[in-house]
Amino acid sequence: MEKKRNSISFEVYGRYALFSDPITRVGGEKFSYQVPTYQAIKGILESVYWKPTLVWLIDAVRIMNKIQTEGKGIRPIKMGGGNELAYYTYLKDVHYQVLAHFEWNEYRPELLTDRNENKHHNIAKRSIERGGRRDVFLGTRECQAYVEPCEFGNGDGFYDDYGQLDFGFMLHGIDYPDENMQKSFNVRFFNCAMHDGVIIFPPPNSPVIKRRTVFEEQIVKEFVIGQNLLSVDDEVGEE
Amino acid sequence: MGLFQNLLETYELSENAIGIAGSVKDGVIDEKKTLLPIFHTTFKSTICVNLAQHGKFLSATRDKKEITIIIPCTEGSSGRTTNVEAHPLCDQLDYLGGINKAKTKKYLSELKNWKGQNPSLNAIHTYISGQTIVEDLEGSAIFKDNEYQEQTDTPLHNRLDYEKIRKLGVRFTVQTGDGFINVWESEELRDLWKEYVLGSKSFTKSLFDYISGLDVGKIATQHPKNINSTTGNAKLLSCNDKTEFTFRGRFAKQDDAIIIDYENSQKVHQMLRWLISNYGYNVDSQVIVAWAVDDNKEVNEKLYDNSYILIEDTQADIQTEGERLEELKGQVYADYAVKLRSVLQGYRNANVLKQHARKICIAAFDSATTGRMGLVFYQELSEDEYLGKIVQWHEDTSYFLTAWKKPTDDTVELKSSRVEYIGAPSYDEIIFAVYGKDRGDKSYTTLKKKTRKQLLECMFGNFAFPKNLVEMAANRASHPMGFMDKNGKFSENDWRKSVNISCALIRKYYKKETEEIPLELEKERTDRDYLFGRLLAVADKLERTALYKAEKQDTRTTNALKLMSAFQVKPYSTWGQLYNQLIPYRNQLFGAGYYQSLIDEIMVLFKSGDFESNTPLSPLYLLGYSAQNRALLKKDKTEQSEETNDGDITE
Repeated sequence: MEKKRNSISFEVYGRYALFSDPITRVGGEKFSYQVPTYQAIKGILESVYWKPTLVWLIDAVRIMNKIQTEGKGIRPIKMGGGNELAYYTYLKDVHYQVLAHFEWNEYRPELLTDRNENKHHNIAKRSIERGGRRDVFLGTRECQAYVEPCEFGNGDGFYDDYGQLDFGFMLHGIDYPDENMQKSFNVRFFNCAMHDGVIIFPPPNSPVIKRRTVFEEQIVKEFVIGQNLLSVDDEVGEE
Repeated sequence: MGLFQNLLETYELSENAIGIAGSVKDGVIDEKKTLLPIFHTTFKSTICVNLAQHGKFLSATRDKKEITIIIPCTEGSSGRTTNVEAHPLCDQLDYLGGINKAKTKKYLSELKNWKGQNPSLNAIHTYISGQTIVEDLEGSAIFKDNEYQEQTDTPLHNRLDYEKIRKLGVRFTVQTGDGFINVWESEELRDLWKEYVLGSKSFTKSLFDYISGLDVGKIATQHPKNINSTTGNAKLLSCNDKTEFTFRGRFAKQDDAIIIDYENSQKVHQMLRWLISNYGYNVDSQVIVAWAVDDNKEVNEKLYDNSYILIEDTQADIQTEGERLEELKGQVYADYAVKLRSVLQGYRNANVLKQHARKICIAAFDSATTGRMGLVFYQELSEDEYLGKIVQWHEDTSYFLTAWKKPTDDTVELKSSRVEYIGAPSYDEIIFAVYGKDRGDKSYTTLKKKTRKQLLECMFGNFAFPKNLVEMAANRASHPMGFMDKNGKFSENDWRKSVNISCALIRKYYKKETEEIPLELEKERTDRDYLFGRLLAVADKLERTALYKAEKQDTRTTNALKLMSAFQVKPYSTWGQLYNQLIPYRNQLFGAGYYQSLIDEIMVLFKSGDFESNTPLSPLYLLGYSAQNRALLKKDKTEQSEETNDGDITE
């Protein structure tokens, strides 16, 4: 695994996780993918530390525990009021190691002055040490998770000598309108495979990814330094 | 891979067996057990209309009982309820007979768009356009007397009661040069229909299918229901909830949230329906199914033979006609489900399973509401892992159990024989031990479903055995007086069964927690619970022997069993009570030297303070009780056989 100079690594664990398969999700009976999607990991990292100046890229995830599922009967709230019943299937006792790095968001040139790589990198590392800036959860809100710093690849994992395991065609992630030129909302899919417990994610611009544009010409929130965004250079740490 | 990818792959591997009728019983074909071609559905028909080449009516016949046939359907007609959606080839009189003009029009337009130059289809179209079917059928005396209205003064044509005949299913045969074609069985027409459906592509942008990742021909707008016949209305994929928006969030429309190819949706659902109806293990709305996916076709034949041996007494409802179907079974390896089912039902030697090598999928579905079914358990395992887990379960959970084996050979008298074996209790037996007998109410079914899923997760998901189940089972078994038969009398058989199953669960539980406890009596074991259990067994046996000698063995239950529940809670003080009550029986047995010395032997094993403590016993005491009891019975048997060999007369 090639490390970038602004790479970070952390581990995230929790009792349950639910990375819903979009195929079952539409009906309301959610069933989790066996492994986290790129987007779920990215979301975790964005809860830990994120600014519109940068985009996190997930390089790899390492599955530490055996993949297990547990079904639960759930009573979700209906849109028109009241409740209904559904079965959700969660992953149980999950533990992942993540290797990621950030790149500048090229579609936000107005934030050019905020691109202080060293400072962003250090803030991110400190945020991981403190368990993240915001609530961290695995896939779905009810699956609370915990983040700690770690060395990617350290420790024993269940799948260390397992060889290749294919998960087939699955969701990779979502291109949000502020991350592409066309300001469109795209969903990305790819063929996911795990080798000895490690999934190396192709980056979102990789040719192996299948992409579908769902919505075009979306509105992107504006950020102006000094108005609704503090420049990274002005951020002051705790005394 | 996910469930849907695997189902798709399985269907494609089974291409050869599609449409061949399965399960012939008494000459009646069970089409439900047939793997359906895509874009086809099953249909109940009673009337067969024979047509000449150019659509002229020849004759009609009516079956005594409706038969199930396979007919082409449109996306709308497969799930139709009250809306007007016609099947394109065979349909009910309502659609064909002009009883309902809108429906007949719909039928004719479906058929017209499809028929092309095919002579059979053209013949049917010409005939139905003529609108003479009801008269022709009347002329052939097809309708029964009770299908006419009662008043007799109206003209002939009005006398038919349309309400009674409109649901009758009609099928056609069409005359060709040298005979008749049964249109519902014609391979040619099936292919023609598939081509037609696939030809009418509806996409504008190039999209990919969320299951396979390949380009979409036609987007599925709705998915089939009736996948599991016990929850007929439930859909596995449902995305037309326009009021509650179960897919709400980022998406407003179905197509925004999900794109599934119509053909793939059909394949997935036909495959799953076939697997469930053939190999499903059902409780109420829950169904568990297991199968294997593999493309190694060379070894199939041999493997099929092996599984045949394995399933010898469950094969009555899965025996098949047609070599291609047998080949399918080899390929898909759905026999695993039979095996799994047998394994789930316990009484089976798990070692027989060790002979195959594939990827196994285990899936469980359940419906929380009537309209949807959810995937509640899914696991893909390599063969080794799958078998390893089953064998492991059997080894850890095994105990002395009893089964009633039905004779396999018809020539033997029909009485079931009692089989004693060491094995794992089935899921249902465990549920019996934990929750008691089925009282036939809804809450029991719910518990049963919940427990089955829990056990499935425990068996294949490496979960620890749930402690609450062990404790509940042990608790029930500690109350022998709670086991009543219909007449309110103590049912010893049920109770013994419950004790044995509880012991199996206790062994499984302790295996995971601390250690493996052997099946046979451990004479040196010094656990307090185990020793108290042994004492109880000796007290029980002593009294039994005395009653037997006095020829009063069936008159009442022993004091030991009556006091068992108290014994579990306060072993020390209850033992004192029990010991006093044994005095008259000891006297009857002239001191009962053997039993007394056994009691002393056990007493010595207690660690200091253990015996005097009056705290409740853990479930482990049941194992002590059961093992000691077994040891005493075994001793009896050996003595008996020795005595018989000596020719001595026993008292």
